Amino acid sequence: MQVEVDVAGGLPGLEIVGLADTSVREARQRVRSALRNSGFEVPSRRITVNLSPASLHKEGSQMDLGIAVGILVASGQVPRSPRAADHCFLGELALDGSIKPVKGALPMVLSAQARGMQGVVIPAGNQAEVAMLPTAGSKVAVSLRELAGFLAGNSDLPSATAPGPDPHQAAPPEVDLSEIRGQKAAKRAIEVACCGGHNILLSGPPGAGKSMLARAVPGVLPELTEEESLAVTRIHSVAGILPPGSGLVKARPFRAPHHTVTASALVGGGPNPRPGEVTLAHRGVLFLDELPEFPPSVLNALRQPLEDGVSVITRSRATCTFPSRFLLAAAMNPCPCGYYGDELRQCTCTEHARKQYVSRVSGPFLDRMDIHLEVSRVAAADLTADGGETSAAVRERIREARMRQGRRLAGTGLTTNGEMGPSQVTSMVSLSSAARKMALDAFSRMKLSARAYYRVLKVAASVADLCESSRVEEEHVAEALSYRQRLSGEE
Amino acid sequence: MTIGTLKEEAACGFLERTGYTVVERNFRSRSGEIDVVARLGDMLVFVEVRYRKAGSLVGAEESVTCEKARRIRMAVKRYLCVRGIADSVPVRVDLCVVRDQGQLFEIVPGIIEFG
Repeated sequence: MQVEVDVAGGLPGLEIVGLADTSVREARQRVRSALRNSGFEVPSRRITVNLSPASLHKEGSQMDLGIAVGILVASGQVPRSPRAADHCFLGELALDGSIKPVKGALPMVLSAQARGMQGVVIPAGNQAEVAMLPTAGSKVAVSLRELAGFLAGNSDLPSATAPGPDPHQAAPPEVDLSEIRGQKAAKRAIEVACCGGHNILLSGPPGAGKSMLARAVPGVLPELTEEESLAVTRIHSVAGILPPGSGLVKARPFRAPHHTVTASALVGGGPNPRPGEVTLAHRGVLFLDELPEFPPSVLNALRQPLEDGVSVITRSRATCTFPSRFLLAAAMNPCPCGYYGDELRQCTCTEHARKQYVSRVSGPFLDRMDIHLEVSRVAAADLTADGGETSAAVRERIREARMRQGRRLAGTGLTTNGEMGPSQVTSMVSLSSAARKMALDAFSRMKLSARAYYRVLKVAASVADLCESSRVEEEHVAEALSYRQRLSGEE
Repeated sequence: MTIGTLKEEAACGFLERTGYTVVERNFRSRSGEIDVVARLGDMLVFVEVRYRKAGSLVGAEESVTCEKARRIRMAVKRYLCVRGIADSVPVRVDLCVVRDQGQLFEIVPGIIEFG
């Protein structure tokens, strides 16, 4: 975006044009005060500020700095120099002339660099997120006065520096596997899910630990690669959820929207398209607790992100494509009272009520969950016993298994088994004949859809990878099949 | 001559000494009036003159109320139109404060904004 400033004759005033929304138009007052309090004057002239391209809606306060610089140069209070022309200016202005941080600094800097700008001047509050970028050129300005000195050639601005050890990143993930008592089967299922990137549905009575298990997932997933970290940081920067002063995001995102969330908040939307929860969960986990409470229309909106890994929002003004590759984890009770199938407590629901409750989650949606797991209550013995392996230990095993997956998927651009399409499953997953027979038997016996059949094979491949077997054997298929119980209890 | 006119003479004298060139005085239109129209460099300045006694409690700037400012704005626009002033000519509205019956003068530039 370009800021053009014209100082002309006629009645004095400052006007901002270019489809600017309220927050941008308010820049008038901020820029005026900031200029005056920095020792400059706002010339009593007709000043027109145009934000081009003129057909694109503008919002936000990040243009304040550019507007102020434009006025300074156009009124001759700062000399016209290459420094002014070759740099991009980003920042909100406080009334006293100091420069405040903005949202989305990282993607803006990347964009400026892509356009060949020599450098970008950013607020001190944003330097942490851009300091990690390989190419230098981001400079930090604390106040308008400091920046003017730089533009006049009298002084230099410091480069953006990386922060010290980040307190936010050093924090361990929310839940470590070792904190969860018992639940061996569930932990195994989570290991398989994280290994191959499979969506997981946890079903069980209240208090069994479904939420805890879900919260342990980001810690079990392999660490973000640099590329993934950059992508996630960009998204979080634009969404304004980066903690102030933090650098690149290192922990996998975990998003748990409440079941009253709207489809628009979930997958993105609004008149000026904004990323939704699925995008904020990119490269991380999206957790839907109390799954049947989510309106079907909202769950339907998840289809595209789940299938394609992107969320496309079409509006009359613009079409935006947001990345949204995440692991879906969901939790639900098996019936309205929650105790159907529980060993100790009696279910108090009628069969009809239970069937109706379960049917709130549509068949097609369930089909996309690769792993259905029943989480039963914790036995007394387990409660006091040792917690078992830590997430870090499981992560190590997964790392090895992922390398095996990498070899299988070499050349496809995919990273996990979960991303494979049917043809890729057929060509790249090698089954023993016993395994193939078992899978086909199950296909007819369990009345699986074709989509479900391929998903079983993908999960079986992940199990095989964890078992360090290059071929998928019968027992791997068996385990994968065990993760596909229908919730209605037909199996 | 009335006292009012004497003070106006004093104000104009001061403006001329400061570098303004008085072009017109007491421009009246139906929607507003302007005390002095002057040229300062390439700029056309409309000056509103105020008189303050020593120790007056009301600041001169404060005396230019919203309503007064509106009338001055309208008058300025009328002037530009009627006198055929080109769009490229820079325009400003200044306040000239005459204190203690001509002992002290003060100019406050650019007191009114148009947009």
